[in-house]
Amino acid sequence: MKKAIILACILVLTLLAACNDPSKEDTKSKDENTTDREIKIEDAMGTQTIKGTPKNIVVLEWSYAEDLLALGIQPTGVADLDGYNKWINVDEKLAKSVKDVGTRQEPNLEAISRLNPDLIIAVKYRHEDILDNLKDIAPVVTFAPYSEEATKNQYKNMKEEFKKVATIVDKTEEAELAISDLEGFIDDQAKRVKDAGLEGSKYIATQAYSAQNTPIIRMFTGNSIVSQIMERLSFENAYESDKLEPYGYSEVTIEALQNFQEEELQFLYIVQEDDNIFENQLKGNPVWENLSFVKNGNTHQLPGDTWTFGGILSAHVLTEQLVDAMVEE
Amino acid sequence: MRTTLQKSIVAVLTFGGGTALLFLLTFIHINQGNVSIPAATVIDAILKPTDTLAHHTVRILRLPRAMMGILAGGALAVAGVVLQTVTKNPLSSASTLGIHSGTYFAVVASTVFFPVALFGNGVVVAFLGGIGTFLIVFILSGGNRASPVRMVLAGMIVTFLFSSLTSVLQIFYENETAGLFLWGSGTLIQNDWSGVQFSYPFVIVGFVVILALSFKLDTLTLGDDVAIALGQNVNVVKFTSVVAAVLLTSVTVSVVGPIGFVGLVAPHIIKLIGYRKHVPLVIASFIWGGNVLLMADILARIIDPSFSELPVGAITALIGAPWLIWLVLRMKKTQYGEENTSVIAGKMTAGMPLRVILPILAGLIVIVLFVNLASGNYGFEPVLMYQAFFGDTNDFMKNLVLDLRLPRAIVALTSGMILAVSGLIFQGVLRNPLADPSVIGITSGAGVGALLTMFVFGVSAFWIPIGAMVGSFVFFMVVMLLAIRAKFQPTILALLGIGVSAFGSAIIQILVVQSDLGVAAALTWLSGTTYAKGWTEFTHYLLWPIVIIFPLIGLRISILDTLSLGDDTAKGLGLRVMSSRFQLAFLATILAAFSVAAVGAIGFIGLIAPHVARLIVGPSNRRLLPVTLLIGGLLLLVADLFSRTLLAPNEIPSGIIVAIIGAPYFLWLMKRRS
Repeated sequence: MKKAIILACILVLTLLAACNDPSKEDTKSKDENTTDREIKIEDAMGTQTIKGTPKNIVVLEWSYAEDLLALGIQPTGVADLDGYNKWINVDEKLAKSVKDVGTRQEPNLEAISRLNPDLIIAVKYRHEDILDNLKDIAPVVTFAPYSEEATKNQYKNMKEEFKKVATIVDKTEEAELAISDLEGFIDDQAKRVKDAGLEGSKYIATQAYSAQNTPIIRMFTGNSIVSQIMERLSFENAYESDKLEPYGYSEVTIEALQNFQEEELQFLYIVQEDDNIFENQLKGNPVWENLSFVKNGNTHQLPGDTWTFGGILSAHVLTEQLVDAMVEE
Repeated sequence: MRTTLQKSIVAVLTFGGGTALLFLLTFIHINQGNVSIPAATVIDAILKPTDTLAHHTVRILRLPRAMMGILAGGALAVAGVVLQTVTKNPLSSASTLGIHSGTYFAVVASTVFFPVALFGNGVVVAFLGGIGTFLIVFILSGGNRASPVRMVLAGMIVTFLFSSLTSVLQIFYENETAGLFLWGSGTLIQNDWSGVQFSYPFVIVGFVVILALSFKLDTLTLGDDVAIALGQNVNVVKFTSVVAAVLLTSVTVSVVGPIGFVGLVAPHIIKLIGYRKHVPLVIASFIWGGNVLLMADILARIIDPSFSELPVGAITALIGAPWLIWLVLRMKKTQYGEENTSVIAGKMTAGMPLRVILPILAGLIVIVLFVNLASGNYGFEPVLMYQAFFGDTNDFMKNLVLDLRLPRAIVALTSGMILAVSGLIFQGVLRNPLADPSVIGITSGAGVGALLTMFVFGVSAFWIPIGAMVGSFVFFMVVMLLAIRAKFQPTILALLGIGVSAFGSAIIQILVVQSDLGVAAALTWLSGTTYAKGWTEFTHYLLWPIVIIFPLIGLRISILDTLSLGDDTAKGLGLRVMSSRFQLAFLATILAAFSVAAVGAIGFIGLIAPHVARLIVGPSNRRLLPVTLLIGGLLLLVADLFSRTLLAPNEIPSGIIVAIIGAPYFLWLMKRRS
């Protein structure tokens, strides 16, 4: 009896396995792209060949959705659409027709598949183990924004990724334009800094939130986009981390701020309105009030929706927010 | 005369020495920090405070942290003493009984859903969660008659349930709960005196209540009958002291997070010194609990001097878990009581013949498989699926079903089968109805292996399953080596598994907090998922166990029936008990390791499938094997269906669905047996 069942199980499974194979060949002819265009792209997984000009694109990480918008393309599907709308605060909006394809960590393969895309943009640190599944659906370009190489200068990496996206969708000129536009904008904003007499100021930039009343402070390191833009605005980051922080910040407690006590040091912070640790938990606390930048009134609050991990459009917004915070107070 | 002298020396060392150590550790502690302050300034800050930043730092950041450490450590230790006395269980503590996980879940849940309820650090929420968990564990494991092992196992299962529920929240509310992760592993960070001011009245009240009950607790250790005969109202004493203990625990959890094992280690140090009466026991435990926690916090900052914090809770677990293992090994066999671990008696079973039940189960699987293949983001679409296959028009749908849904369903089905069989064997080998691969520490080992591969070696995702397999084997071998001396005695094996699991969880916590990369990714993997699994997983990890190991087990399954008669009888029947135990456990480990490699750490299936099978066909393992196998497969198949469709397009890890389906059933089962 028992052996018969085991045998039956194996039999059923083999049958199921067997009937899968022919189907795979069918999928190949899914997209008949008639244009002759064929390009090779170096991505995190090696060289990818992309035929035709992708139009129907699914992005699994927010910053590439921005990149596409900057090039005048609406993605077909974006992972964690609600999160995107909550955090990404750029002028160009996603169209109503854009579909949610599940979380960024575990995008819904079926939802992606139903959109029948001709390109999927993924990131290595989230999607490495599902790349094969994604490739079965459409050609995949994988970026590795937090790899050791890329994270050394996240701003530079952001621009390079943007250019790559532009090459894929055949919009290199638009990309050059967008980048020179951004850099021109940063230069303009640098003039505002100069006019305000803040040129060359030292600063530390943080993003802070509380965990059961304990303030946790993310202090941006030199490789972060924040720090890179600040450098172009002629500010100098006073915080140097011993190790390369993959996300561009170290998580510290309030005590660590005491290491930055130079006169005229500027303190930039991002907090959510409902979790403003500096107004709630730390107000009146001498270890906060006695810090040089608090005493001298050199603290600058950035809006809660400041997005520091974005793409080309967010960088634009971020630049303006940074300068606004530093200058107008 | 001499003994009196000795006693006084011991007393001086325990109380005076302990207090002195407390001062010394406090001093070392307040000299540590993210900014360097010379020791002289630290002393000045306390004796002659001035309005300088350094002095404020010492007085407002560092001293409260040290005080909080003493309060929390002391409170947890005293709670441990009470729990050990009331449950008559030397292994009780807030962490081993699952109280920590209950309070933690309660706080995380209200952070997400009812932030209003979190006034006063959420102590009310934490308290309700804590007392609820204690009652669940205590009542379901059989109350007063529960044996230590049974209660700790129940605590472990409740912990398992609450942790998976907590993970659901952390996965879906990544931003809302981001900060809770550090706190969730226990951290003493304070930003002023408010934490101390908030908690010390509670701690004093709890401490005084327990101290006042000390003599009654002494009587209680003589046994309930004696206590009743002496005119004591046992239930009132038990209830009051447990409420006080849970209060102490929930206050510490709400301020510093769940810090495990202090409540286990500190009382045992004092008991080892020789104190049995509760007055000195409670006082000394408080002092030494503070010492243990301060020491752990100092150690945490020596290990990781950078700005980022290593959670102190992970350090106490790292120290405490080996301690638990040592306690288990030095305990005499008799102290466990000869736990009657024979599985559910025959009268509870339906006694259904195999030829009836097997086709029914197979039919159910076919039906669920069909529903699974026909359901997706837009619900149940049987007609579309029919057309896809027989209408020959809808190629897209056909590919969808064949490339995505079918392989994933097959992976769910087969890994469910493998897990269930693994659980069946562990239950038989350990003669313990609550055993499964996660109880024996294998799942935890797999998690450690996987995370080490992911974060430390930083190799590609391809190696993660391999790391998980290596990890589970290493942990299995460790448990087995430790158990050799105890002759693989079932209860000891189970307890060792718990100790090793706790050790593994501590390492996992440290890795997750330290790497701060992809916490959600790690949590998803650890909670087990059939997401994006396909033919690769099936052919690499699932096919071989089915083809090779299942027949091997089929041949040897009758040994389990012999083992269930008890060691002596089995020996009498000519069975080499030790070696057969090892062999079977080894086969079960291989199964567990392969399934972990394929779908991550999915618990509960190995626990539940054999139980349901027993209810249907009775205790004979030969009959159980095929039924368990099918039920396990069916369970994970159903879970997979829900995980894909319930919140589409978002995924719920199927391991969590299993826990949510399985836990109520399991708790019901435990209640019935008690």
